[in-house]
Amino acid sequence: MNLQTKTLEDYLVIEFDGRLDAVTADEVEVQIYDLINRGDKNVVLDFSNLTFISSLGLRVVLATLKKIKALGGKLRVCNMNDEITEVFEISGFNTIFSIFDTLDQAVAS
Amino acid sequence: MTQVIKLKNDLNELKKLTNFINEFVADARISNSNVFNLNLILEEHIVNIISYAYEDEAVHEIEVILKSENGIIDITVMDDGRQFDPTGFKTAEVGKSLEETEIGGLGILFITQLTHNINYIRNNNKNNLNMLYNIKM
Repeated sequence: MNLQTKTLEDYLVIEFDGRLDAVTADEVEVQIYDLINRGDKNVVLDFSNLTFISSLGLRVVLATLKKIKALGGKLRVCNMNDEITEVFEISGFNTIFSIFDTLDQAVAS
Repeated sequence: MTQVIKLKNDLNELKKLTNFINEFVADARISNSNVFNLNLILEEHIVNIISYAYEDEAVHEIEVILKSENGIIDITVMDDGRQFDPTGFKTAEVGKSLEETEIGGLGILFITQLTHNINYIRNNNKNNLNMLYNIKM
């Protein structure tokens, strides 16, 4: 998976495309860390085109949240499809992440 | 309708699994809304097998059988790894704080939440896990 990025308001927006699973998790984690290490500490993960996530994908998202918090930044997630929303609910991740319906809402607050 | 695939114990084989599930769902004329959950159930179990079941470096075979009948998908996974009964495994505790949240046990939590019956037997030195999944319309 190749992550795309853009800057909106005070946020670095990271756009996912495809599957975040056992096959792609490690390469995505490296890409995210490279992006964060450039200095952006307020980040939105845009899941508009994320079609699938498994527990190994969640591990990457959780590690990202912990890293951003350690830097004193903010992490938001937006545009999750119904299935990914259910995965966040079952895992309890919906209670530890700031989740927004749209990108506009995520960068507005 | 029944379809079978045999995978090697290599994470790159999961791409074949994804294609297999897509073909099964199309051939069985099941709604695409089931594809995500079938992928999740099978990836979680098979990643556990590949990651933890084998103590040698040899190539092993993991057999996946999908059967669709009467609104249910009957999922069977067989492997020749060491004995492991996921039905007796402690699932992840949810609702913890960020600092306490970990990933261990989440895969089995997804499997138990998304299927309505799970049965494990050890037979002929093989693990045999059968799961029943209610098809979403």
